[in-house]
Amino acid sequence: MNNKKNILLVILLLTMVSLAAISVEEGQLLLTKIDQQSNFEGTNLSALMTMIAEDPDTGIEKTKVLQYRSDDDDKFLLLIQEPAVKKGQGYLLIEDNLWFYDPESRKFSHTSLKDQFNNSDANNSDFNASSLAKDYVVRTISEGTLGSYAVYVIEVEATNNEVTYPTQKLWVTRQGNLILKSEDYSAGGRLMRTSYYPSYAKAGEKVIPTKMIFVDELIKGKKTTITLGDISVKPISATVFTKAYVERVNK
Amino acid sequence: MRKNLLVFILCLLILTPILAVDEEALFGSSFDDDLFGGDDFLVEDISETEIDLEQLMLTDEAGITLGGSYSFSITPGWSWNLDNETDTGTLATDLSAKLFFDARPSADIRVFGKAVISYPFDEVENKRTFSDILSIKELFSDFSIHDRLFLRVGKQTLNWGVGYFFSPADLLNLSEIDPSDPDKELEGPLSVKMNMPLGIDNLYGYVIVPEDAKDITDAAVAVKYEKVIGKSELGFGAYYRNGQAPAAMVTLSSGIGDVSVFGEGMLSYGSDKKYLKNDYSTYYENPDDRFYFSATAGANFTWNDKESDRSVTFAAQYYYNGEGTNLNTVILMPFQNNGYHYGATSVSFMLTKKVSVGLFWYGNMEDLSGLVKPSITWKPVDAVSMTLGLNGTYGDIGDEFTMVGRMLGVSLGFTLGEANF
Repeated sequence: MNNKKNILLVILLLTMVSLAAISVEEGQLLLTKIDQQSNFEGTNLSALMTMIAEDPDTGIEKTKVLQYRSDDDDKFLLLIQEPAVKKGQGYLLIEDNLWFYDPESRKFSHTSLKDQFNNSDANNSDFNASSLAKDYVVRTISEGTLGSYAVYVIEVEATNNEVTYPTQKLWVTRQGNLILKSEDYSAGGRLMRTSYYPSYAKAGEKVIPTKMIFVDELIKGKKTTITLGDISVKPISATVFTKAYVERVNK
Repeated sequence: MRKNLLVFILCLLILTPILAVDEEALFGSSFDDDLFGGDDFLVEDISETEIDLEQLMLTDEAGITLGGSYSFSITPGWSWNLDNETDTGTLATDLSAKLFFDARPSADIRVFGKAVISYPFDEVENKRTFSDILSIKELFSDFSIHDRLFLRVGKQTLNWGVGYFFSPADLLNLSEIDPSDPDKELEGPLSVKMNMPLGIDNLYGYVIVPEDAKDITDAAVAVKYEKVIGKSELGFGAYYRNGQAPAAMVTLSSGIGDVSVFGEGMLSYGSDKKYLKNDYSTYYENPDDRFYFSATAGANFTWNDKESDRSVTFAAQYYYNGEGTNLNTVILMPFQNNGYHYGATSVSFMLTKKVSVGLFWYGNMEDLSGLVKPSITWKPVDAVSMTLGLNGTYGDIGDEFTMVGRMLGVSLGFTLGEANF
C-alpha cells in the first residue's frame, strides 16, 4: 500500500514538473513573440537617445544620438547630435548594408553590425530590428526569478555567423515576454557583456526598451547606459534613410 | 509515513535542479535586485514627443553653429644621404586652425563654409601667397527640390572614388590622395552636385566649373550611379570636359568577413598628364589617340581585442597607373605617378590607450624604390603626443624615391594643445 502511495507521489511530482516546465519548442515560439512585439512593423520609430559611457581610464562621455527605425524596410539611421566634434557622424542601415558616414572625409564606408557603436559597450546591432527567432535556436529553457519578476531563462545559440554574439542567455518575463537581462558570450564561451533592460515603453502591442545598460565583463568598471526619450511612432519620410539626408545634416 | 516523507524529500532533492536553476547564482547579484527588485512599472505607454525629430538636425535654434579645430606641432629631425654621405638637420613646424560655420535659417536650406589658416603668416619672407595662409576649403549651400533631388552648390569636396591610398577613379577633386597621409581632406572644385536617391541606389550629376573657366564650354560634366548588390556597392561614372581626355570609371566596395575590400578602374581616351623631359625645358605628353586604363584594389580591417585596449588597423593597396611615364623623362606632376605599378601598406598597433606603433610602406614596384616609415607614438594626456619616427628610402640613385640617393631620417615630433571645438 505504502509503495503505491510512493509511486503516486513521484508521478504527481513529475506531472507538476512537466506542467510547470516549458519546452524548447515553446521557447523558440517565445523568441518569435519577442521579435513580433519588438519590431515596429506597419509604423516607424524615432527617438532621442542619451548615451553615458563610463570607462575607468577615460572617464565619462555623454553622447546624444537620434535614432530612426523603419523595420518594415530593414532600415535604420543613427545620427550623433552631441558632442559637437562628432555631430553628423551617422550609421545608415539599408537591408544588408551598413554605412558609416564621416563628416570630415565626407565619405561613406561599409561597416558591420557587430562593431561597437561609437566606442561604447553598445554594438550597432543593438539598434536594429529584433531577429532572435531567425538568428538563434533555443538550447535550454527553464523557469526562475529575476528580482521580483518571474522569468524564463533561455540559452540560445546562433544559427549563422552574422550575429554579434554566438551564444546568449536571456531572462524573459513570463508575463509580457520582455527581455530583462542577457548575458552575451563569445564563440569560446567567454562572457563578454551583460545587458540589462529595466524599463520599456509601449505603443499598442509594440514595446521598446527605454533604458539599456551594457556592462563590459572584461574590463571592470566599464559600462554604457542608454536612455530613450522623445519617442515618436509617427511615419518617417523615406528621404531620412538616404545618403543625401545624412550629408545634409552633417557639419 | 516517515518513508513517504523521505521519498518526497528525495524526489525534491533530485528534481530541484530540473525545476529551476540556482537562483542565487543567476539572479542573486545586488545589481539584479537593484534593477528588478522594486515594484516600479516596467512598461509605460509611449507619450508621443512634440519635437519634430526629422527636422531636429536640419535646423538650428541659434541659426548658426561655429566650430573648428586647432593644431600645433614641432618636429626636429636629422637626415642622412646614405649615397652621398651628407647629413642635414630639419625642423618642421605646423600651426594651423580650421574654422567652419554651419548656418541653417530653415530646414530647407543650409549654408556651410570652412577655412584653414596656417603658419607662417609672413607672405614676403616665406614666399607664401595670401591664399596659402588663408584658404577656403569649402563654401556651399544644400537644398532640395521636393525632397526628391538634393543639390549642393559651391566649392565642395566630392565623394567620388573608394580607394584609400590611391584613387584613379577620383576624376573630380582638385587634389589627390597623399599616400603618406590618406586621411587628409581633399580639396574639391566649384561645382553643382545633384543627388537623386533611387531606393537603396543613388544617381549623381555634377557640373564643375574649373578655376580657369572663361565661358560655359569650359565647364565639365560628370555622372555617377551607385548600385547596391547584396553587401557590395558598385559605382559607375563618366567625366567630360571640352579639351580634356574623357574618362569613365567603375568602383566596387564590399566586405569579406570583417575585411573591407575595394577596387577601382578608370578608362580614359587620351591623357592630360605632362612630364618634364631630361633637359628640364620641354614637356612630353602622352599620346591622345589611345585609351589608358588604370586600376587599383585593396583591403583594410580593424581588429579590436575586446579584453584589452589593444587593436590592429591594417590597410594595403595595389595601384596600376596606366598613364605611367616614359622612362626617359622625369615626371613633373603629379610626382607620385611616376611608373606603372605601386603599392602601399600601413599597419598600426594600439598597444595601450597611450602607446601605439605603426609602419607605413609606399613603393614603386617597377624600379623597386620606396619609402618605409616605422614610428612609435606616446600620448600621455589628451592634449600632448610625441612621435618618434624613422624615415628611410631605398632604391638606386635616379629611381623615383631615391632621385638624389637613399635617405635615412629620424625625427621626434611633439603635438601640443590640439583641440576640436
